[in-house]
Amino acid sequence: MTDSRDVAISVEGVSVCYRMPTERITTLKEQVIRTITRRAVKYNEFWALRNVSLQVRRGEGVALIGRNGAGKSTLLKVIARATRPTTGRVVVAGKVAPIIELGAGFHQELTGRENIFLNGAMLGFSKTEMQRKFQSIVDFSEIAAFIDSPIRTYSSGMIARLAFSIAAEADPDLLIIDEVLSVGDEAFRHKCMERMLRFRDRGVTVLFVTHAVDDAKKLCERAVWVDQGRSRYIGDTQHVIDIYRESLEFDSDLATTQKLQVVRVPRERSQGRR
Amino acid sequence: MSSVRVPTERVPTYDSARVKLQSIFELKELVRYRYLVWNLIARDLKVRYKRSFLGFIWVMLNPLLMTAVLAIVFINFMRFGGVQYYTGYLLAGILMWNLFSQGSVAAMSNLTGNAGTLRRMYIPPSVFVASAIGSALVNLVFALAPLFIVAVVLGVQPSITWLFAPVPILETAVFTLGIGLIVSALMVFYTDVYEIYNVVLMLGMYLTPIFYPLQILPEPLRSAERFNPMFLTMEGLRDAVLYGTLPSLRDAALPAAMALVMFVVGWLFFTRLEGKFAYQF
Repeated sequence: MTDSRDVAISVEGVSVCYRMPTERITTLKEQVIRTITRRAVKYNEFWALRNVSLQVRRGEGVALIGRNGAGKSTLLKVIARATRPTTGRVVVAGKVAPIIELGAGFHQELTGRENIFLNGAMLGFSKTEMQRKFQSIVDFSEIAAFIDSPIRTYSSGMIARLAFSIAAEADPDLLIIDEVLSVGDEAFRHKCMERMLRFRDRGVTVLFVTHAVDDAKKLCERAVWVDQGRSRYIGDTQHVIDIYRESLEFDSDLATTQKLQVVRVPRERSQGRR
Repeated sequence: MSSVRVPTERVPTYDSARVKLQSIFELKELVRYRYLVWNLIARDLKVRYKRSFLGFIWVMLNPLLMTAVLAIVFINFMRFGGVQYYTGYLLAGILMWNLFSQGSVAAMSNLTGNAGTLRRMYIPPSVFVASAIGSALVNLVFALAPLFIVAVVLGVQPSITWLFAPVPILETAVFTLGIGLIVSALMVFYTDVYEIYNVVLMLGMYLTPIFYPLQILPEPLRSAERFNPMFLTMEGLRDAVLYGTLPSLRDAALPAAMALVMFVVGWLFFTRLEGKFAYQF
């Protein structure tokens, strides 16, 4: 029985359900009319996550692997508190620094400098605290020359660098990274991996969504295969990667067989007519 | 030498099952994120005037110009007799109404405008409403200087009642916060709240004695104004700055109570619904 203080993230039976009305009521007028005429609206339920359970120990590195739309980002958002679970329970111990989708919280008109303070405030830091971190953020992101230009002049690579530097300087207990490193160039990815490895050495928990399988193996001992909202398999990173790859081949085999069948029918028919 | 970080015992922990009373929890979170509120207010001011020609002066100039135009129209065309220091009367009314209307409208656009950020990281949503009202309040404070100047130019004697001026202003801010919380929460779910609310605001603007004195109103309306919190706070500011009078304790308590009630109602409404925001963004 692991010491509960050792647990950084505990996801227990979490489901996230988006109830989307089949007829979208976007206006107050419609809502009032419907309430008066008592016309019920039918809902479509989309379960982004179904009964996911996961325990992450402090200092562990866990990778989330799966196809696009499988629910990886939703799982991250539930852990990062951006979304509340429909059912189940999430417990997260420690300070969280999330990088979910590039430049969330950046304001295009403000300069890099101003955005550093803004983003810092969003992570819960005061101005003086950010002032202390300011120089290291600028140094790591290597955008010192552009720090006083508005962000709309930055390339996406520069924005990625800045976002990562701020999150890294936040000195978090839990670092959540959602597939944003693909935007940077090789040098940047190398730098980020190094930084994240150093975090791991210092006992920071890392949650990493990626399609770059090698990065996942380097950084994380465990991995979760997320598919259609469920955690299909949790285990050793290489093992999960293999299982995931197998599932991809199975899917593509299925698609190929179906394609062959479709092609065969017209030929038979034309031969028959002759 | 151990480079492994040993976390302190009191580690901030988020437990989704444990948040009992959302209204209290959100209040604590709002206080925790006060730097962000301040940052957003400062950012709003900077962005608004960054690329404009006159820059910051507009904060003071805008209401003054509006008052000048309205004063010319109303004094010459409408001929309101019996309103002492009419231009000051007008300016005070406009400033207070602007705080209310611009603050609550900004609350709506601020919350839904930051949907992208709220979708991706955790920020207590009330931060955006608070910063909208805060911006409007800061704008008002800067526009106060011209109000006092206009008063003196019109012949008002500076008096100790000027010190009472912050009270009606704060009452309006708290009231606006309550309304802002309600309309911004509604706007997350229904997009036409924006248009509907703007129409309601227009109605309110004409029904509140901003441009005209209370006396012109026919009877049922005139007595009803006693329950219009915007009118009460407006008159409070006018009395303090222009006419050198202070309200009786009973008259001062009413707008304060209305503002507080509105805030509590708005806060409860907002925090009740905010769990569902993420599913709408």
